[in-house]
Amino acid sequence: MRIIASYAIKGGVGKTATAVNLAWEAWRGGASVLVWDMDPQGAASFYFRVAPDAHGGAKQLVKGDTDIASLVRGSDFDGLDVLPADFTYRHLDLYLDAAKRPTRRLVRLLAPLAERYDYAVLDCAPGITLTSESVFALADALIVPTVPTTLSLRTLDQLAAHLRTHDAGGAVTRPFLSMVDRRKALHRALTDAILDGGMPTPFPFLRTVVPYLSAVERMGTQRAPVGVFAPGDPAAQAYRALWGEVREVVGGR
Amino acid sequence: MTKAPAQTPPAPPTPPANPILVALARTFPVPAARYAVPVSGGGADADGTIARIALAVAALDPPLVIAQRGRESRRWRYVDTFDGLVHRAGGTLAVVAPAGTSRAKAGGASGKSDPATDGTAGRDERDDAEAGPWLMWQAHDGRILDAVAWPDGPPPAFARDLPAGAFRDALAAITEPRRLLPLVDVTAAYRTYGIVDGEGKTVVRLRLGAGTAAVEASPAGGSGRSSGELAPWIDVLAVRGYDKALAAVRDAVARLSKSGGQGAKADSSFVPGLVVPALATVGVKPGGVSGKFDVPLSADARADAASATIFRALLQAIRTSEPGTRADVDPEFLHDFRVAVRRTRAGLTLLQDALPPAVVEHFKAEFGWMGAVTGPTRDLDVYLENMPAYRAALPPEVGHDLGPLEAYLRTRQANAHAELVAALDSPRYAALLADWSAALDDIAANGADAPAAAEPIAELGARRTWRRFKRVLDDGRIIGPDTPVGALHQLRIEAKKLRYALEFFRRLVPPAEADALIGSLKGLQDNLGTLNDMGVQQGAMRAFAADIGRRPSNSATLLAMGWLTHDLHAREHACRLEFAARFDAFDAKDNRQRYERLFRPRR
Repeated sequence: MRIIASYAIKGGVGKTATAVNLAWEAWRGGASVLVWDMDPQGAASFYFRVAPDAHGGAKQLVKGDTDIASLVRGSDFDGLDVLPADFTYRHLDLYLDAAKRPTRRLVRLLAPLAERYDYAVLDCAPGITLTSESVFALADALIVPTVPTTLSLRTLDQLAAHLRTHDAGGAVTRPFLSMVDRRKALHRALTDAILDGGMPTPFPFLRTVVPYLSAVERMGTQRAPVGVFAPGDPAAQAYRALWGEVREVVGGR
Repeated sequence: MTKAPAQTPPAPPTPPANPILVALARTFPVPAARYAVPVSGGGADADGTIARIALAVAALDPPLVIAQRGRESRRWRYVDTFDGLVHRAGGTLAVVAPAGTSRAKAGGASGKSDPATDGTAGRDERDDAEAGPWLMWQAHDGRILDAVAWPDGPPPAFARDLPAGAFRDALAAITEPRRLLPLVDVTAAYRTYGIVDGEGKTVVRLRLGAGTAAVEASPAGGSGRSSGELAPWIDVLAVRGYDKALAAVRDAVARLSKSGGQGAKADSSFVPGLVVPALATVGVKPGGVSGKFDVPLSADARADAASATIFRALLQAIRTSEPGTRADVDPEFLHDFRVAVRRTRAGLTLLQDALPPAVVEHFKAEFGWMGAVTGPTRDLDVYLENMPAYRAALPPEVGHDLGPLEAYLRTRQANAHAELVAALDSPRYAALLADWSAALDDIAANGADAPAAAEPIAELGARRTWRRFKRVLDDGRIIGPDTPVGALHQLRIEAKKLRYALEFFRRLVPPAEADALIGSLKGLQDNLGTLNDMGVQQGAMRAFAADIGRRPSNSATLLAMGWLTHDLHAREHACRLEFAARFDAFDAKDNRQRYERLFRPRR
């Protein structure tokens, strides 16, 4: 199983849309995929129509009292499953803190599922937390949606600094340009500078640019990946291209 | 901040997946349970059933809603060897093609308000090789073992017709060199439904199926086409993690269904495929025909009546394999035909004391004739079946030179087979079967005028078996490293006669003993048989060479045949060296004691 984390220090950059659409593209290509919704807001679960469940919880999960496989829910796409958000609720950090060798805890947690899936796609909560550190240790690739703004690019430097001083776990980190609005002069300028190499970046960027598009917002009302309800839309095409690049980076099927 | 102390070992690269296999596993999910659709009036009341299920799931807590997802029709053309090798290996093999698919397209006219809440809708956008048709190998439990794109024409005639790869190799190991024959055709129409919770999330899927099964006139016997309707069924398909909803829906469907239903977990005999009900519909047994000879006999039956029973079973085997022998679809039909003829001849000798002498004399001659007219075709069949092994024994470029030999053998086989069919069409053959049947009726009804006719079959059988055992033992024990090979061929014939005796009378000894007797003899027979085959094939190569050498362009072929002859000689020699050990295993004390215990005359 290859583990792909959709992660960004900054919130509101299209992280969940990235996780959901990459997972769906991987599934569409024939892979079996697990989406782990690690964001307490549960947006990825919502997009896949998986209802929150009262059972279990982060505490039991991290302690190892709950069989992780029993928490998995099938999505409407046979072979694409979801580990819903409520299990990894906002307390996950606290419980990881209380556990011995917390960063390895998540590795052990996912182990029973490694045989079943070709890919796990993690939708991470923003910020640098004990949970996100565990994700760095766990993932084969960190895919970082990055809006071409000064603030957003600054967080890439922060991430790079953090990974330098901590064990990044060998994850390949690849940002890509997300929510790009070409009507904005700053977006245009930064996008061009980054893609033609005129602007130094701490990580090489993927070439795919995901524009700011209403189809992505409609995921909230349609409650499905964009490729399902708007397969011809530029948004769907962009995520398809993005998945092609991510697959190259992460390997596997 | 805690440092990650160590890394996960890098994941091993995912083995290259067969995309067809992945797609098919999603297209043909293994149902959690299957139920019969209630039938009202003359036909299946599918709409009524769905309406009743809808009412039932709406009453659940939390209530669920049922939504139609799509319709599709598929045609399954199942194939198997005549003796059901694929079935016995735990699976089915079929060419599966869409037959008029019309699924609701996501985002299409009907899908506008329904944002593809179901996998079937999303799958319409998938750009993989999902449309089919495929050749699909499915385990009895519904798992797809392998699949390959296959044109919607005739199914493969042999495993070797598949594209090179793991599928071909695995299937060939089971079926080669047998031909894959049409088993049954099924046309099935499916309607799929999603059962949806308050989030609009599909929590259980239903698939209603109905269809027809048909068998074409089979080359293995029978004529015309028979067909029938399959009883409509409902498959309940699980969505991972929604066990409660699954249990509730299963309960609801089970209450509505006339049948208790079959579940993957509850019932190990549950076969989710279509082949078992389809074959039942057209009255065909799924396991094919078995070549194993096993005639029930009672120990104290009169020898003449028991003989008639044995011969009648063999006559049935001759008749069963005759249409396939004529059609020449698989050499195994002729092989079975000849085995039954040879067993009949052996039986006439073995049981002659219990049969009228005139009957024995006449039918030994007639079945001898049957053996003679079928022999040339069988020999050529064997050489043709051996061609891959011949090639494999030679370096590839030399093996390639055997092409003209194969073409030559095919021509001769076709000629020999035409003569064989002419013999089967002759009045002599028709009279043979009719007279033999009448003679058996007469013996069964009136008894035979023969010295041992009234003796219990167990006694006659034991006496004859014992004598044959002693002869194998005596003949085998005098064979040393320098004994001429003719003695080994004589021993092979004696061993074969003993084998017939053991098979005829196998029901007269406990089954475990019969298996042990046959098993110990088989080791010796295999050695002697191979030894003989290698010798005969060397002689045949010399004879073929005389023909093939007439054409100067065939010099490379002659060279390859020379190489091959040398290889056959080497293998003959290896068999010869192995003989002593095989015979010693047969002549072992416990085996001798078994024969003594079971067959030695008590005086």
